Amino acid sequence: MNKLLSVFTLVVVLWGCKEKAPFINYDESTKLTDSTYVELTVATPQPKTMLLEDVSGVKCVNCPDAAVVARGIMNAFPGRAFNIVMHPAIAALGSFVDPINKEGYLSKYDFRTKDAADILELVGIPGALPRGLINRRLFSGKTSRLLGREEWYVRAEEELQTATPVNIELKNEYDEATGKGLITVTLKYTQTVSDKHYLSIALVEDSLIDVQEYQDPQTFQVKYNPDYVHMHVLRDIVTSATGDPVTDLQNAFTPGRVFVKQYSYKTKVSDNIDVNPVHGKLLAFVHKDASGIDIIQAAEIHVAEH
Amino acid sequence: MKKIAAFAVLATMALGSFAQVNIPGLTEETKQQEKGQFSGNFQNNNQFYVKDSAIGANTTQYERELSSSDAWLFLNYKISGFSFSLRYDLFNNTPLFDPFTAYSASGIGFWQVSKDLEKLNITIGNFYDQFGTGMVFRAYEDRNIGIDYAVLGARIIYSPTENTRLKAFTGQQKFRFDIRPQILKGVNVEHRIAISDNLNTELGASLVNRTIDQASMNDIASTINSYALPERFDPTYNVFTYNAYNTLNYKRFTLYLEYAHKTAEAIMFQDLKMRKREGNIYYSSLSYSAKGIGINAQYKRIENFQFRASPLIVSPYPSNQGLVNYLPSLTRQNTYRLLARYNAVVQELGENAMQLEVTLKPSKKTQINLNGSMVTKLNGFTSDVTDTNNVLFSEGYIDVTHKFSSKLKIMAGVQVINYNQTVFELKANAPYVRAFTPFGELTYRFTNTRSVRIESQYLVTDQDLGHLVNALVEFNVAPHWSVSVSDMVNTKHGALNHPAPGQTFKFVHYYNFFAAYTYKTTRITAAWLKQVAGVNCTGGVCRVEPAFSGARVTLSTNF
Repeated sequence: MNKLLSVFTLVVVLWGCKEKAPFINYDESTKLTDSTYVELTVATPQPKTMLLEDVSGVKCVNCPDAAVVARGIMNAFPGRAFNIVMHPAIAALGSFVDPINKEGYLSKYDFRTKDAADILELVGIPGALPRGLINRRLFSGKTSRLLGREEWYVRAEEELQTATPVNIELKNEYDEATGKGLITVTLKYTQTVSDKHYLSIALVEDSLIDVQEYQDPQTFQVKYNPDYVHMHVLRDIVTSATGDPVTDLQNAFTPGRVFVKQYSYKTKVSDNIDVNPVHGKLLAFVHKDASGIDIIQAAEIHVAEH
Repeated sequence: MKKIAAFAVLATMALGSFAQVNIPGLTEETKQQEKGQFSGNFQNNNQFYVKDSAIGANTTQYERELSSSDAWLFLNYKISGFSFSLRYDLFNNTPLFDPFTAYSASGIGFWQVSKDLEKLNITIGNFYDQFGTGMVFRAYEDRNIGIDYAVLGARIIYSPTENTRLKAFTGQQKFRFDIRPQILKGVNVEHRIAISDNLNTELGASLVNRTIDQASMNDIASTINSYALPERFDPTYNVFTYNAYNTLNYKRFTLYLEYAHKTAEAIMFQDLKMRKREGNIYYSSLSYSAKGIGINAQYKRIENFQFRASPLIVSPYPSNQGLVNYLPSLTRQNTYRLLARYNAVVQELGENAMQLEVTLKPSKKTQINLNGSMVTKLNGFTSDVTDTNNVLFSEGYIDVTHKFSSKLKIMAGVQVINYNQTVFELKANAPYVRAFTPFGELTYRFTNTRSVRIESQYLVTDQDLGHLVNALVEFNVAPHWSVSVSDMVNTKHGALNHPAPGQTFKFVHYYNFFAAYTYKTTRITAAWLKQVAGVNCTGGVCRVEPAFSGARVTLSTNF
C-alpha cells in the first residue's frame, strides 16, 4: 500500500509542473471606431493577394538568401505579394535571433518581438531558420505551415491563383508632430463566408541598417555584414497579435456587407522601437480564427509619404 | 481501415495459437477454455416518421429522410486469457446524436484487446471504465441518449492482493467514429481493510489529467481575446481532477464520503462566456437496512465542476457531449411516463442536492416507498419549496403496494414536483412548474402465463403543457408475447400551449400501440406512437428531445 501511495504522490508531483499559457492580449485595444453596413451593389472582387511571413534572425546565415527569394516574389507579383520579416522573441531560437555581440560586430537594434513569438505559437516553433508562411496556409501534402525558402515562390504563385471573398481598402493619416496615426480599414465582402474572420494590422519598417550573419557563397564561411539593409521588419502588431474578430455577429459575412474599422497607432512603439515613419508601412490582413489561421487577403499602406 | 487491419492481425495471432492446441488428457472445462468462447449481441432500432406539427414533431426526419436506423453488433472472443472485442455501429439518418439533424455513418465503433497476466490486466483499444462514482472519470456508453464516451488508449489494472487494486490509463475520448484530440490520463487506487467482523472500510483515490491540444487551445485563446479586457484570463492546457473516497460498513449501516477537486481552468457558463474557475464536489450517503425498513440519505454539493474534453464542447449550453466524468443525480429515477416527465439535469456549475429514500415493509404483502429530494442553487437548502429563486427542483413521492392475493397486486401513490423549466430545458420565460400527480397500477395474473397490467397517472399543472392523463393496459402471455395500448391526453392547456385568442383548446393525444415478441434471447418490438417533447435522462445526464410521431421497430438479441 505504501508503495502504491508513493507512486501516486510521484505522479501528482510530476503533473504539477508549470505550463506556458497561450497568448492572451491584455493590452488596451487601439480600435477607435467599428461600424458595419450593407451596400446594395456588391463590390468587384479584388485580385487575390498574399503575405509572406519570413521567420528570420540576425544570426541566421541563410536568412539573407531567404530575403532575396522574398524580394523575387514581390517583384514577380507587384501589388499582390507582401512581406513581413519576423524575429521572434523565443528562447529556443536564441542562436538565430539574439542580437549579435561579437567584437567589431555589435547589433544596434533588437529586432525580436513578442508579437512574432505569439504568432509562431499558433503555427509551431521551427527547428531552424529561415522558414516562411505563405498566407499561413497548410498546403496539400505538407505537415507544417512553415515552409523552406525553396518552396516559397511555387506556393505563392499557387496561392495567388485563388479568389478572395473580401476586399481590403486602407486609408492612413499620420501626424508627424505627435508621432501618432490613424488607419482606417474597410472590409467589403463579395462572397458568403461561414468561417470566423479576424483582422490583424502590422507595423513594419524598411531600410534598417544593422549587422547580419551570412554565409559566404564561395568559401561557405560564416561572415558578418555590418551594413546589411533589413527590410519589412515587424515592429508591432497594432491589433491583438492573433487578430481582432471582424464581428461577433452570426452569419454576417454576406455579399455587400461592409465593415469599417479605425485603429490608432504610434511609431514610437516602445523605448527600444522607434519606427522611422518614412520607412514605416502598415499591413492589414484578414485571416481565419486561431484554429484555421489561413490569411484570406492582405493590403499595405505607407505610414508617411516618401 | 487501420482499426480493422490491426484487429484482424491480433485475432489471427490468437486463433493461430488456438490451432496449435490439441493436447490429450485435458478436462472438458480446460478444453473449452482452450477452444475459446465466442459471444455477442445485436441491437437494431428503426424509426419511421409521420409529421405532426401539432405536437412539434417536425424535425428534418419528418420533412426529408422519413426514416432512420441505428444498429450495433458486438462480438467478443476469449481464449487463453485474451479477450478480443469488436463492435460495428451503423447510423442511417439518425437523430440520436443531435435530435435536429440527420447523421449517417457506419464502421468499427469499438475495438479492444485485453490480456490477463496473473495479477495484471492489460487493455489496448477502446475501453469503458470509471473511478469510484465516476465524478472525476467515467468512460461509458448510453446509446439511448447518443452517448459513447469510450476511451481509445491503453489501460492496466494491477491487483497485488485481493483487497488492493490499481488502475492507470491514458488515451483519447471517442467521438463518433473519430477521437477527440485532447489527451486523458488517470490513476486510481482502491484498498479494502477489514477492521473487524462488523467493521470494514474501502478507501479510494484518483487523479485524472486532461491536456488540451494546440488547435483547441488556439480556439479557446482566440475566444478569450475577443472578450472585454477585464474578462480575459490565461487558460490552461492541463487540468487535474482528483478525489478521495471511503465506504465504511458497520453492521447495518453504510457511510460513503467523497470529495473531488478540479484545478482552475476555463469553463463555459450559461451566458456562453468562459471563466477560469476551480471546482469541487462534496458527496455523501448514509444507508441503513434492517428487516422491514431501508433508509438511504444522500447529500451532494457541486461547484464549477464542468469536466469535458474541451470547454468549447459545451455550446450550445447545456450539452451532454464530451463529458469526461459523470455527476450522479440525487433525485428519484421514475419510470412511469408522467412521473418521469420532469427530470433534474445535474447542474455542473453549481447545485446543492439531497435525497431521502425510505422503504417500509410492514407486512409480507405491503410495501411503502417514500422519497423526498431537493436541488437548489448554492445558496443552500430551504424549507420553502416554493422559493423559486433558489429551489431548482423538489420532489415528494409516496407509493403503497399491496398484494391482495397471489393474483392481484395494486399500487397507488402521489408525486409532487417543483421544477425550474427555464434552467433545465432552457425554455426562456417558461414559468416555474408545479405539478401534482396521483398514480396507480394494478396487476392481475389470470394463469401462470397470462397477466394484465393497468397503470394510470394524472399530472395536474397550470404551467408547461397543462394537465396530462396517461393510461396503459398491458397484456402479457409469457414467455413470448406482450402487447399494450396507452394514451396520454393533454386535457387542459398550460402556460406554454395556451390557445390563440378566439380559439379553443383541443385535446392532444399521445397514444402508443406496442407489441413485443421474445424468443429465448431475442426480442422484437413494434410500436406506433406519439411522444411528447421533453427531457430524456439517464441518471443525471440528459438531453432535450423534440416530440416523436410515427413507428418504432426494434430487435435485440444475445448469443
